[in-house]
Amino acid sequence: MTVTVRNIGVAIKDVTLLNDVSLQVSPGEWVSIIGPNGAGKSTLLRVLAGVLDHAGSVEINGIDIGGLSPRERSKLVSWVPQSPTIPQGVSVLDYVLLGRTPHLHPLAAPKQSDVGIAEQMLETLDLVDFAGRRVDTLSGGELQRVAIGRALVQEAPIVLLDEPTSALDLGHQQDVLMLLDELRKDGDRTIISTMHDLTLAGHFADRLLLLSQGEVAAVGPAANVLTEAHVAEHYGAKVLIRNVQGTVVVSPRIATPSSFELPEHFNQSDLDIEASAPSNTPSTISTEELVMSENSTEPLTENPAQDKSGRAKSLVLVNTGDGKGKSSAAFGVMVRGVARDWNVAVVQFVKSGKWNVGEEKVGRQLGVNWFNEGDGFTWNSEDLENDKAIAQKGWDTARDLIMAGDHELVILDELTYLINWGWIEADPVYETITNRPEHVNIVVTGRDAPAELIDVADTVSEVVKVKHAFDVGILAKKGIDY
Amino acid sequence: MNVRPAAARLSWLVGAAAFVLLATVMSVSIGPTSISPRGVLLETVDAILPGDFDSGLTEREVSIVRVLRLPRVVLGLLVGAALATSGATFQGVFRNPLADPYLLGVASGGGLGATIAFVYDLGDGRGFLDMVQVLAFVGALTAVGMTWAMGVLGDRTRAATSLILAGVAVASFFTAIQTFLQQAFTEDIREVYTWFLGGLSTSGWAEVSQLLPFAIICIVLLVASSRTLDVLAVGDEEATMLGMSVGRTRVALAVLASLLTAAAVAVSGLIAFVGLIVPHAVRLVFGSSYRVIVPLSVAVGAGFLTLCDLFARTALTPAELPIGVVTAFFGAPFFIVILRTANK
Repeated sequence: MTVTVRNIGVAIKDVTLLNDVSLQVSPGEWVSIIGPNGAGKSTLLRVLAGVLDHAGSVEINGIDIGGLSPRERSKLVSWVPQSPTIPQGVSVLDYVLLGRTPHLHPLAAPKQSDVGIAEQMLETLDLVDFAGRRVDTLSGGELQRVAIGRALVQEAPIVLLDEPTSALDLGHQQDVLMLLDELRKDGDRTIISTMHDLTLAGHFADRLLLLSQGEVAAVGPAANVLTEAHVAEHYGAKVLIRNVQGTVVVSPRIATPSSFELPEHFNQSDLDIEASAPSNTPSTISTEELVMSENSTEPLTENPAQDKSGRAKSLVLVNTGDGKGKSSAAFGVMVRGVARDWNVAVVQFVKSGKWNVGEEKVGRQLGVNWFNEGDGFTWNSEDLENDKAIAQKGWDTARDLIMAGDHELVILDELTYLINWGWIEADPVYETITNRPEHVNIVVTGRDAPAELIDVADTVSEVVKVKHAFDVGILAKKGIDY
Repeated sequence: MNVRPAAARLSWLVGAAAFVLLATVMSVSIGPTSISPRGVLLETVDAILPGDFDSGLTEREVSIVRVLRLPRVVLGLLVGAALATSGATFQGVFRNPLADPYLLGVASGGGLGATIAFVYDLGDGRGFLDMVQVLAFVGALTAVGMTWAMGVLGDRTRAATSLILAGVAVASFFTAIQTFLQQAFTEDIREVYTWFLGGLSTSGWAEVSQLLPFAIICIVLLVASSRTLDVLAVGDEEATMLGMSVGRTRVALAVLASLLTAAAVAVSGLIAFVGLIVPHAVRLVFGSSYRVIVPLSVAVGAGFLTLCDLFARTALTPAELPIGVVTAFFGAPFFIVILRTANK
């Protein structure tokens, strides 16, 4: 369901809490509201929940929720408060069952089906053993899950969360957020949350809304909103912003980027090929599997690097999370390509050349043509025009490499970002892949691949588990539903 | 999953019904004239069911049971059930463990109404629609209405607190007038004072028939809406987000509970303690959900008040103790025992 927020204004007495806030949230999207203390984050969330008088309108699928009764509204929107009121002596099951209120007549007791829904939710949230526990004896992490359970059994398509992790330690923060992300995808829910932790906010949300003094200061993907300039202006904080495996990491500035160095444990011997496979690492990728099998039940083709018609393959490696091993998998293919005596080229986008570590050194040692055209195009850059120019230059290099046909394997690492952010035109990318010389294999990695890119791929692999475990051989077009 | 949602279990309800029955039979049996429990039971069944059969009691015993004791015992059951139910409701509606049926000014309003009737000799508090009862009922509802009018003028986000404070203000105001009247008509003080301590002396079935419709309608509705009180327990804002129209629900429940209390006060005066303590005792023993507390309070309140009345009229025969004295005298230590046991 689409949430449309138009020109929201909230003033209590003479103090303006929100001024002219507008936002559109697509079905299934996760938008996190960030901003310094007093920026109006929780106020906006309460407006969305319909419990605060305000100017402007909040519409869900075109229906103004201001005109709905609490009962009708609670079937559309559920809310997980920052610190829920904990009733004395109530069992976890009964507490979760409160979430069925919108579906019950005021004079009716919960039906068996309602109890079933609550029990199912306890199972989903791994709380079955807690069903009989009193909520006032739970720890913060348990309580947070129970409160989320209560909101989810409302079966409202839109879930509002006010600082869902503020009371939790690091491990529980991640657990709760990953759980929400899963539940969002499983249940086709839209999430709007407020978050203090900018790194977590950016990692889990599709988009961030930065509020400052009650007004929208920025809205968009984490990379656009979480900039050092924004944080300095609105939070008054000096931070270092880096991209670590696709996540925008915001940390207090304790070192300037120019002094950024390799961690100590990265010594040269790690970069030697012979020493690079310690026995305790998980089993590495089977390149054959990745490149060759279109379908796990079909026999392999004669030449694993070609499809049945003899054409070289294009492979798209995607996932929806970060740090799961897309690039590692691609570089595994690179190594196998070298072993076949192929000419291999890697064009690395987005990642900064400053982090000239591991893969690149190995690649260059192996004689791979390594293009760091993305160098300088980083998450914390502020000269957006310059970035765009660099991105375009990187893509031009890649296109020329492919069309020249000098390389049997061309790896385009993190290409999807350029498309998704509009740095380069998308259609030439698809055309290039489609019209490439017959013997050129292409591997593309990135998060959130556009449907057209999936269409031009022979094989799509979604890397779903952390590091080096893959669901391989998913046929293009029926692979991932974007 | 072997955890069940909170609800009054069948076994508890059967136990509660047995307690009420036991209290009833004991109360009708015991008195200046002892009557066999078996005869009482049969006679009661005979009184309720159509048809006629011999309970084995003498004609004099039958008339003691039917005319003197049974109406009083039934009235005690109804008043006890009414006060305990509305006490539980007020505690839930206002999320306040100190709430009792008199929270919104029922006591002071009823007291003023009764005082007016006494000092102007409009009635004696007994019989069908006696003016003491009528004015007590009207006074009680007037006070609640004023409390509500004042309470909603306050800060809307603190509606519950505003109402409780308004209740205190209205009570003081009504008590001031009532005290003034008492001072002006000192000869009636004893009568007024007795009414204030509460009592179940009746003139027969008249009082019962007056209270019965209120008791049935209000208690049935309040028991049915007990789940709503569990929702209110998470606070106004969260309850709203759970789909409840909090303001409307609070009005509806408070009106029902106030009606019930006013109807009980009109026929029995101000019986203290029952409405406060019975729900708490039930909560400590059986659990915190109002889906347990409200239905069990109905039965426990009924049985408890009847037993207290039994003591009130037999301890100092032929004199009678005011029932409010008995409820407090026995209720308080009993409650402390439960409190200690439950905390262990």
